[in-house]
Amino acid sequence: MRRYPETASPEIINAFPSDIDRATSFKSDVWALGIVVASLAAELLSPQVAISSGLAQLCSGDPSAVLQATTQRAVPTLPAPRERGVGRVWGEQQKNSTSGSTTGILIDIDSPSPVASPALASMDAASSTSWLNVLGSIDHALMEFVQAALDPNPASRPSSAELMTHPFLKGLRPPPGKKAWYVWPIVHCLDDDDDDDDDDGDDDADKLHSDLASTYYMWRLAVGPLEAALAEQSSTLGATSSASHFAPAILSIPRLGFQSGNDETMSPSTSAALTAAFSDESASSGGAGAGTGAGAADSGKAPYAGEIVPIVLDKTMRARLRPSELGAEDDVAPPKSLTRKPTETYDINKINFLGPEHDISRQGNIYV
Amino acid sequence: MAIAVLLYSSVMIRHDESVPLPLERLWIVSEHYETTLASLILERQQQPMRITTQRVRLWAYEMLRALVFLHHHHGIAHRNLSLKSVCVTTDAHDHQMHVKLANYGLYFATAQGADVDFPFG
Repeated sequence: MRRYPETASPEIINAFPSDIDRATSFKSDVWALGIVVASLAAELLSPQVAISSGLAQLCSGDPSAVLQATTQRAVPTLPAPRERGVGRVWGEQQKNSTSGSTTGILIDIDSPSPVASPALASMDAASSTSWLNVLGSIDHALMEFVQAALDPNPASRPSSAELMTHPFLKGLRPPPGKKAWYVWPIVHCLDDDDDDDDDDGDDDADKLHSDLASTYYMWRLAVGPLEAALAEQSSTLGATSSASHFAPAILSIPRLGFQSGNDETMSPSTSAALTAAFSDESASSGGAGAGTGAGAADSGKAPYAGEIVPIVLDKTMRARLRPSELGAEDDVAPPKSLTRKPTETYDINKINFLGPEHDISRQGNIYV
Repeated sequence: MAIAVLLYSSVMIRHDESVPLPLERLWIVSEHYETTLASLILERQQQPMRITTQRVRLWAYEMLRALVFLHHHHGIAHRNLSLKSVCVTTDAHDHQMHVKLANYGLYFATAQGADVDFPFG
């Protein structure tokens, strides 16, 4: 059984692995924040076993424990201690199979669950109130904050922006000049304030910022609309068409030509694989690539549209192709999750990511 | 994984360095902080330090503000928020401990967690 992170939200644990992307939302971060804040309070403010053991079930990473904690006894509203047992129960499953308690507490200590930890089982009567109530005894607003964040229903769970208006955080303001200081590294390069010699305070702070700016840009490429950005950069190269779906999305084989090369380095099986790989793409693009191919744009020679361009594949590139295209010698399967539309063109001359030993200009081959 | 290798190997080489990074490895270079919230809790068990409710409140605010920044300004879900991914640093100006979020964006960079052997939320 898969173990989940301790801050995994119920919707993540509930989801099938194939649906986990769809199930995850920004609300999952809010849940994780609730876990973190509650853990902080439990460990730092008042190291009480009631809180930490109550949290232990939510943080166990064990799906059954978390599911039980959230579906059987979780409740958005917390009753006062004297109202225990009559609280509103979230969801339909308000029957507690072990104790019959219908308390509305997120984790009820005095009704140990079948998955109760030894710490839970050793609870004495003094700590028999729920951990949220113990939390509330420290700071009531803190307890409400945690409870709001730990809403098991992501639909009703507040978003991060909504949670900012919680009374627990009332009166807190960001420090001046540090717009979002709490996130690194992207914050440093986004803040253009003059007085942002921040916590580091070292001499090469400016240098660090410039590096981080480029880092952030590339990082956004990794996370953001990479195809669009690349297409914008290489718009002069043109020749975009619906290529066949290589994996990964970014490093699909570009339609590149070359002047001369060492063909003996290409094995027959790889050649056959390339033939198969390019055949459908060539058919789809057809004459659209004429005159706009990457190689033809520079040299002005005959375009390579519809031709099989010999490309020497290194090991990593072969691993990215479909195994069926490469024959039995390659047993590395491409990641299945990469199903995005590939970007067909990019400036290969600017990306020499194989190192100097694979210098393009020296060998005359194009390595991808 | 190819995307990550390409991007991060090009990203993480600093401008004054020309050392090519090996392929098929994911290099993610980030600021380094000794302390995370998880290690802070461990430290505190050995060496008592005073943490007030106000401090936790401030940290909650800082974390939440970081989440708002990620969510609403950049459309990024952290997906790996835990005690281990929140760094604690001491500000040079007010000499107070502040928190920073770390390790976000790894989920995407690792092909939805398929390229690493530890789980992602």
